[in-house]
Parts: sequence; C-alpha cells; structure tokens
Amino acid sequence: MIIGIAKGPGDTPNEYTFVTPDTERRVKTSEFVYYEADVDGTQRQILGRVIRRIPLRLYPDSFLAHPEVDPAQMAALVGYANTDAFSDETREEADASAELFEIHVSIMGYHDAQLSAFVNPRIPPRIGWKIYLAPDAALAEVLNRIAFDWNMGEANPGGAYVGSLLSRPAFSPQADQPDGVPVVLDVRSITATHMAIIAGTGAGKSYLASVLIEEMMKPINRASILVIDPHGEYDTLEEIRNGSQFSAGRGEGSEYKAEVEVVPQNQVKIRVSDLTFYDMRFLLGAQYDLSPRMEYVLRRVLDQVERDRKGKSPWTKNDLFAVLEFMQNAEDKRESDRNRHSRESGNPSDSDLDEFLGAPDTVGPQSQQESPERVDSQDRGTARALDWRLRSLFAESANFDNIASINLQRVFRPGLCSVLQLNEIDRHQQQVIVAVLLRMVWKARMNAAKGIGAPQDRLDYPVFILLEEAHHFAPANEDVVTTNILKTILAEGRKFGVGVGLISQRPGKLDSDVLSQCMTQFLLRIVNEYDQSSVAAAVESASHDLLAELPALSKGQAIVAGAAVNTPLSIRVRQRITRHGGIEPDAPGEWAKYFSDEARQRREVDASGLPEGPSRGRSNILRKSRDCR
Amino acid sequence: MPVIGRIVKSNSHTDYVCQVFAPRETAHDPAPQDYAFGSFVKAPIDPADDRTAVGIVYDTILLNPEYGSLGPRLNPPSDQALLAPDYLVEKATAVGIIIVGLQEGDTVKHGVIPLSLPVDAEVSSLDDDAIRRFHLVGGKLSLGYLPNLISHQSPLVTELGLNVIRQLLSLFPESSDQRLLRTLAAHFSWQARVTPLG
Repeated sequence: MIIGIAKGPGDTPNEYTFVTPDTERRVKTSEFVYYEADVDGTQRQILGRVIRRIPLRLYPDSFLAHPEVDPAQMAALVGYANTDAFSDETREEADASAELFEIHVSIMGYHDAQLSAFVNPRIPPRIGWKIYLAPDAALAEVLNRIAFDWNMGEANPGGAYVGSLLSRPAFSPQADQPDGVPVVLDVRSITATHMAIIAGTGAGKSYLASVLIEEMMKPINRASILVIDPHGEYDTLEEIRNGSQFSAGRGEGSEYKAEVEVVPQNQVKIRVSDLTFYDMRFLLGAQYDLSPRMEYVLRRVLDQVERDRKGKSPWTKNDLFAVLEFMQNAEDKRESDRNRHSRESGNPSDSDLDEFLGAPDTVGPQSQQESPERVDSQDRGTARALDWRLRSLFAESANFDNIASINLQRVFRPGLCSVLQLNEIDRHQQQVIVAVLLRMVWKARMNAAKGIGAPQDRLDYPVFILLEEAHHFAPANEDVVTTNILKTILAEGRKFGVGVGLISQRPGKLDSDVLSQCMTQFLLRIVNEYDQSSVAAAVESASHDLLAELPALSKGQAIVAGAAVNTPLSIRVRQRITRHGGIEPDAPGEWAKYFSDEARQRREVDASGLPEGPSRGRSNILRKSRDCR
Repeated sequence: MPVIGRIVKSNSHTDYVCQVFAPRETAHDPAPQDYAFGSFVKAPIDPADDRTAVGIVYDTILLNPEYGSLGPRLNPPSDQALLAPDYLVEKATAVGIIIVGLQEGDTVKHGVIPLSLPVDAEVSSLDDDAIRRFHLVGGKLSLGYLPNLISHQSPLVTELGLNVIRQLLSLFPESSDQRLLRTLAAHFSWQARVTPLG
C-alpha cells in the first residue's frame, strides 16, 4: 500500500522524510514503512521506522479562537475547501483532505535472512520515490526472531508471543483473519542473556512478567522458572495448572502438563549452615549495631563451628550458641585462672582457650597497645552481646532453620514454575534468602556443567529466575549481599544456563552495571525523569526517540528492545490467560462495607460478648433441624 | 443601483481605477457613500451578456490639475466656467477597485476572475441584497476572495477586510454565520489595531 512520496533527506544521514496526506491516519509514530531500491542487483525493501510526524498545514491561531467554531469551517469560509465542504456530512472528509504531513523515518535496512539482522544499504530514497506501508505478515516475519504460527495462533517453539505491534490494530489469534502484527520474543536470548522489565508503579510490570511466564510454560517452551515474589502477586499463576494451553498430549510430541508450585513465606527455609559470615554480618548489621569487634568474634565463632562440623552434619544454631556460651564461660575461667596464677606467681596456661579465641595480642590491631586482661574482658562482653543479637535474630525469623532448606530439585524442574513468596519477610532477610538461593543455584549449575557433585547438588537443566523489586537486590551506590552473586550470574550465567529477569519500578535505584547486563529490556511507562535517564544510559539498542515515548505509554503498552527482537518495538501486551494478581486494593469499597447491615450487626454482637450472632445462630438451628429431618 | 463612474485605468488584472462621474455627468449624481471605502461595486465584463465582475473600493484618489498651478490667471474663477469649460472635467475623483469575484446569473465565483474589464465599463454600486447573494456560495456564507484581498499591496488592506466583515455582520444575522464572522473580525481587528503597535 503506497502511503506517501519521498521528499528528501532527514536530520541525520540515516533518516529520510516523505510527505503524505495520511487520510486514514495510519502513519503513526513507530510505524514501519519501506521503499524499494536496487541493492547489488537485487530489489530490496528497505524498512524504516517512523520517528516523527510533522503537520505541514496548520490553521492560523485566530481560527482556533472560538471554541464553538470549527477551524475547518473557517477555512471553508475563506474559500479553502471545495463546495462540498460546506455541507456538514462531508465536512470531515474535506477536513481530512486539508491535512498534510511530513514524516521522518529512521532507516533500518533490509532484512537479511542469513544474518537474521537488518542491513542498512546506505541508499536513501530519491525524491519522488514511493513509500509503502509494510504489510502485517511481512512485518511479523522480519521483526520477530522466532516465527509466529498463524495456523496454530501461537509462537513457534522457542518463542514467546507477548503482544502485538502498537502502531497496528490489536492482534487476536482467535480471529478468522486477524489484523495486526504479533510480536514474538526469542526465549533463548531472554534466558541466556537476561532481561529487565522496567516500569513505574501501576504500569503493568507484573502483568507483562506473567504473560512472559505463561508463554514460557506453554508446551512450546516447558521452562524451569523461579519467581522471587516479595509482594505475593504471582499466586494466580497457579491457574496455569488447569489451562489447556499449558498441556500437550502424546499426539503433540511428548506428553506435557505445566506445573506451578507456590511456596508461601512460612515454607521458605534457609539452612543456617548455608549462611556465610557476610550474610550474618549483613543480617545483624541491618537490625542491630555491630561493632568491628563483634564482626571479628562472629567470624571466629563461625570458623570454629565449621571446623568442628567439617565432614559431619551441617552446623546448627545450637552449635553457634554453644561456642558463644563456651567463649563467655571460658573467658570467666581464663580470667579466674589468670587471677589464681597471678596470685600463685605462675603464667596463665590457657592454650585451649586461645585455640579459638586466638592469642590476646592477635585479637585486633588495637589490642597490641592494650593489656591482655582488658582484651579478654572485651571478648567476653562481645560474645555475650553477639549471643543476644543472634538469639534475637533467629527468634524473629522462622526462615532460618537448622535442618530444612530450599530443595533445588523441588523448585527447579523443566515444566515447573515455582513462586517463592517473600511477603511479610523483612527486606534484609529477603536479601539474604535470595543471596543464598542464587549461590545454591549457581553452584548447582556449575556442578552440572562440570559433571561433579551429588545429584541433589546439581541442576541438570537451565533455569530462569525472575526477580521482582530488583532494586532491593542490586541497589545503586550500595552493596548488599545479593549484589555480587547477581553480578556474577549476569556476567557469566550464559555459560552455565542461569538466566535472570529483573523487574523494577526504580531503575534509577538499580545498579547500572546490573541493568546494562540485561540484554533484553521491556520498558513500560516511566514518568520520573531520573529513572528515564537511567534507562536511557543502560539501554543501548533503543533510540532516543523511542525512549522519549516512555512517559506517554499507556497501561499495557511497552517498548521491547535488545537481544530477543530484531529491532526495538513498541508493543501492546496481550491479554493474560491466567487472572492478574497485582490488583490494587479497593479502599473506598472496603470502607463502605463497614456501614453494611451485616458489619453493623457483627459489631453489635461483638460488643455484647455473645459467641455467635443471632442470624448465624438461627441459621445453625435451622440447619440442625434440617439434618434431623 | 446607482452608477458611480467608469473604468479609466488598470494597475493589474484585478486592480482598476474608476473615475467617479462629475456632477451632472449622469442623470443621478453618485453620492459619496456610493463609492465609500469598502463599498461593493460591479461592472459588466461584456455588455452583451450578464457576466459581471464584482469588486470592492479600496482607495480614493482626488485629481486636481489646478493644484500646483500657483501662477496668476487673467480670468477670475467665476468666469472660468464660461471661458474654459473643459477645465472643469479635469478635476475629478477616482477610486481604486479590487475585483474579488464574478457573478453570472445565480452563479458566483470568488477570487481572481479570468476576464478583464474593458475601459469605460460602467461601475455601479451593489445594494444589500446583491451583496448578500454574492456571498452565498452553495447556500452558505463564503468569503472566498478574502485571501486575495488581503494579499493586495495596500496599507489599508486589513482595515478593508474589517470593513467588509462589518458589512456582512449586518447582512447575515444567523448565529452560525455571526460566529464565523466575529471570529474573522477578531482576527482582522487584532491585525489592524494591535499588531501595528507591537
């Protein structure tokens, strides 16, 4: 379909302009158009993306002065339109014909099937060349890395149909002759080189993530996914179990039925022996003051329990407390020994205590100027203080257990989406839980790649971990326990088959190194300017004109850029198959319930002290009488 | 419709000069308001048919050969009518007319017309009904000549536009037409009154 005529070069060597009346209003920003040119003897369609649309005919301001006066009528009054324009019926038509637009296009090039990329031939259109609107099917073929199966109405294996092109009509696979361009992402790229979903609050992050999970759980992908869900928004994914789209019979290849496992926060267990010194220091330091001396004693105590338990069963909290208690009592013993020896003139013989306390003069740099008695006294106090802090910490959290731990084999399995709910868990504890989990996964995948370790310590299949509120786990300008392991996985995860998806509403608060390692980006509406500039700095592939659309995107609209698509795209996210869980609470509705008759009666009963309300009691009596009959 | 004069000269295809008839030159002497600034006038293109050019008076020029002749005369002014009768006709009033459209029976065309007026074509003024008919194109109010009018090289052109719209405001009382004309009037008023000061 011819849409306009080339006018000339654009602002940069990579741009051109064309002029169109665009009576059907089809040349939208981010729309795809092409011209035909001879490239090395082959006629090619040189695709380009509309980046700007400038009206060439503007009414004088004074024509717009009266709200009740149509500027088209004013134009007709001074003789612009033909006589038809005077009748109301054809005014719209006459008005449309008055418009003319200069369209700026960024040249992408022709799609080279062998390279699976766009090649810019550097041949701008000559003045007068025809510009065509790219047809839906042809566009779907060149924009998507994985083809869309029009007969089946879903992506081919390895693809994720997440929505349709925003500049075209909404795509519906169920329609007889569907309009629009389906957008299919390359799941292999997403899982290998990671992805990030960045959006402001309420823009549809978890919705888009759930659509992606749905696609990955379909028989065409059968992924192994773990969702770290700090807000408990993903429990509706359980509906995947019953969805016909998520299972396949024998006739469709191997038999398959997607599974979903939601692990509530009270079942999220981390074995204390999996905690490193840094984890414990982070946990204690976040809640209590932790002096350098306490850190030192903590490290010594952990070293001691690990030495004691080497080759045996993992150490427990009790082991930790026992060493601390021993240390406190030993200090008493050593001090009493010293006192006794000093009275009896001999040197203290406390070599057994020094075994884990260290010689007094090696306790710390300051200790060399201090007397041994003073250091010993401090150690005792430090051990007591640490003991109290550790007991408080473990008493507050039921997630750190002596024996139980997250079973990787239970959480990760092809065809299984596990949702780890971390809501109601303190944020610092969430960070430690995630850090431990990521370390375990990383080690298990490395073991599998190297062919070492027991079967339960290996993950034989690639995994994909979706991390909500990623800015809590890799914050900018701050090191938390998860930062290093996340950076390691993002940098080297490709080799070992650990893919990560980061979801954040504050890209400005997310570590820029972490964000830039996510090679596929989903950008939804972002209004905050600081966040916009953070995204612009991190997202290399999306052009500035595309990023300029960020604040104008509506709910459910997104920009996809990076490794999973051939070129940055503005998309309309498809409808979820499962229900959406991240719905805002209806506070006014809840308040209104307070004044309902039922709520009022319940309050009266509660105030009277009766065990049951009269209506409930009556219904019970009726039920009982029915049962008797 | 009083006849006001005849075409004596043109400056361009659309810009003509009409010499106003002197007293007693016609049966009815034209009154000054007949050829006032902004008045609509018409002139036949060809006496053989009913095609008529419609124009607007945009300028007035007074011709007076006596001005500048300050030397003494032998005859007192009272005797000049007797002794030099042709001298009287050299004092004249001329008006500039810009042609804005063509009327052929009930058909009206606004803008530049393809035909020109002949010399000596009689110019007569338009009455209110004729002005109203000239501004109805397809049954709707139209000022299709306005872009040509305001592109004319005259310092009075915005004032002329304003003057035309004022006349039409009184001739088209319908509220929809009034809205359009008032919007246009506001534009010209600003152009004529405020813009020159800015």
